[in-house]
Amino acid sequence: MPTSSARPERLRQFAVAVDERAARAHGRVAEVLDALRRYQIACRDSPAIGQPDAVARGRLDQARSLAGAVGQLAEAFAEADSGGGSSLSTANDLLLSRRLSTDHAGIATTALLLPQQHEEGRRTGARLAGFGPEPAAEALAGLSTRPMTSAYATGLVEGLGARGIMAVVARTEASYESHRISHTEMEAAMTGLTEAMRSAGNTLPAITSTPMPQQDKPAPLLKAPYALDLSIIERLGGSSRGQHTLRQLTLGASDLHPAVVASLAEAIMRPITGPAATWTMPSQGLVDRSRRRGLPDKFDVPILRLLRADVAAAGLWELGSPPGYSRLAVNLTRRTPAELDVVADIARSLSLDPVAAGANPPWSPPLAGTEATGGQSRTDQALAGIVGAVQGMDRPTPETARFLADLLETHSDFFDDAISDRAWETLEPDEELIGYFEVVSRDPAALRQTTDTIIERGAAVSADCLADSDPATARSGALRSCLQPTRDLGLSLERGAFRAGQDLDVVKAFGISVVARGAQAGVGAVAHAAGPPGALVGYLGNGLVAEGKDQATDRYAKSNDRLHHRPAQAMDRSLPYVAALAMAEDDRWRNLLADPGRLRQFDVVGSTADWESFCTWIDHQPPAVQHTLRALVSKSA
Amino acid sequence: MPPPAVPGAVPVSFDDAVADRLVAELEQLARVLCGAALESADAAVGARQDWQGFTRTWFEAEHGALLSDLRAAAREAWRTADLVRQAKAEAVAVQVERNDEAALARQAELRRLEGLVVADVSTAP
Repeated sequence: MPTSSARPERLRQFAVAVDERAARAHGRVAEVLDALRRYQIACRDSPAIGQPDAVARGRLDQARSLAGAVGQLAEAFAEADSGGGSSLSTANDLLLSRRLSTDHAGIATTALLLPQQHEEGRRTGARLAGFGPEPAAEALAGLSTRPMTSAYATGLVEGLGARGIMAVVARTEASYESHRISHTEMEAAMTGLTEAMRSAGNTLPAITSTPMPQQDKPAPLLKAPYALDLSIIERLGGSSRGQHTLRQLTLGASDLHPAVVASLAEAIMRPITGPAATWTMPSQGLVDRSRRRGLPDKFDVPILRLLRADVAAAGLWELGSPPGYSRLAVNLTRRTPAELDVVADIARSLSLDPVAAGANPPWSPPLAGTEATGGQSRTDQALAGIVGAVQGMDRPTPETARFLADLLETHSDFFDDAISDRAWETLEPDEELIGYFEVVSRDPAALRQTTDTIIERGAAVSADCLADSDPATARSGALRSCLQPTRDLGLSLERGAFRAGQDLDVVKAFGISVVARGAQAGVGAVAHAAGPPGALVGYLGNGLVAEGKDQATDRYAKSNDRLHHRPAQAMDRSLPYVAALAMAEDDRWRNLLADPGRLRQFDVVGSTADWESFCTWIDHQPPAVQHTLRALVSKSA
Repeated sequence: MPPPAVPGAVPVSFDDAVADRLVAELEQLARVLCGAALESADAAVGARQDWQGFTRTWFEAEHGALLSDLRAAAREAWRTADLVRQAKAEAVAVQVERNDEAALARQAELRRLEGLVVADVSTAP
């Protein structure tokens, strides 16, 4: 049991000083009341002016009450002291709390009864962990029907512990699967446990993006005693079975503390290695609960939705990513369309908020072209030879396909240079590269690896570019130049995959990945009151996953073998368009736009007339919007 | 002070001296409340020495709220003092308006009476 300490004499001094000052101030309130009565008699025609005396009296009573409570606390500390009578008193929390509730009941508020409530919850949790299947389900169900203080809930969760939580969930599932309890009873049990977690989360410090006024800022707080220990969630995330348990807790959850949501997300979606990774078959209980909510058998959707509903939680989760890594962007190519949609929304919420925070984003026109490259090295010649040699290979062995995929990972500079040189000379994609990707795409594992490589490469490039930029002077053009080779590689891969009969959505995943990196930078920028580079990346990436992207993707896929420059043109035209769409969908930008309703009428990719109309639309926007969108209009416009 | 009421105008009930005293008392109260907040904050520095545990968490929440509330009460006192100043100016304006209305009404009544006299004269045999 934790202990508390204080210097009773210091507490008494505080009590006396505050009480005396408040008592003196009360005299002034009496003077005000007298003046107010005279005013009400002598100035009957004046409008009512409220009761400032009553307000002041209430506050001064509050001060005296606090002084009295601190004085009693000093006595309680002295009485419960186990430190041997020195000026510093130390006391067992539970004893101190009991002393307050018995001998100083007048000041025994909920906050001062925390240790007792926590202890009560802890004992209940420990008992619950030992219950058999049906009693466990019934006891869990009872949690959601009776009021539960946060301290009690925290004690309950800690008393259960990670093992206990896993055990009661498993027992409840077993009861359901053996038809000893109904679906309704299982649902009630899981809801009870979720409710305990929700209530326990209230013991964590509030997370607010609005700074408190300096003058009212309290002294720096020590770690709040009896706050929920999030390491329980972390421990559950250490095994496949524990992750399954957390998925049960997440299903149907709402109003969880952002730190709890972030911890759940980290634990549920964490990759597990070693013996703990033994795959746990989703229980029938989880499957049934998911299906009744209309959710597909993809169990990350509920936790992703919780992140989507709480931008603070999403920010905590994303900012907790290790350096050079984005939790939002990892495994994107393995995500289902349902998950991708939620991930895109999360990325958007993280990257658009910094836009609102930055009054005047420092957009600027694109930089000049890349530097000319020197002569080819031997390695590059060998690589070029390999790329040329595999052209037209119909049935590569898995080993060959993976060898080719490895080349992209280990020699990314060669591929970046190849695609940049080609684009610089002809503005057309390199047919040999497309052929190379076509061969790779014939093996699903190699295709997956290549997709991941390109996405990770793009994310790393954008992160490096942002890291090298001063947030105050970050340039969209610089970022665009950095990302161009990777984006073109993605396009070539999509075209190669298309020819190999594979349906890929590299660009969508790439867009989200870039947004995720931008989100990290953006949230960080808000934290440091710096410029919004995240916003910049946000728009670029968000655009790719927005409505305009789908249109663009369809068009360049269809036009693949007819007109080579169309894909590049489609991408270039779609960027400013989807950025404008994103603005029109955002409350904070919409009011700045002139005639946003027209946007949806433009088919910027398919019709040059529409593209020109869109450019005219941009001309009619306010200067800040014009500047932003023009920065995205490429040289092919 | 509002101007004297002209005949026919309802006098505004307002005493400048009483209002001035209320303003002074309210401003003094605001200063006292701010002083109480400052003194409480100073006294808390000593109390926090070696104070740890759940009672400290309770104290910080209560004390933070108290400081905020004392300052809010001071703002309320200053706001009320401003309202009284405004009322003082409005009392003058209201009395002027009532005097003007009374004067207009008196003129209208005079014109009506003159009209009656003229009518009587013209219809006399």
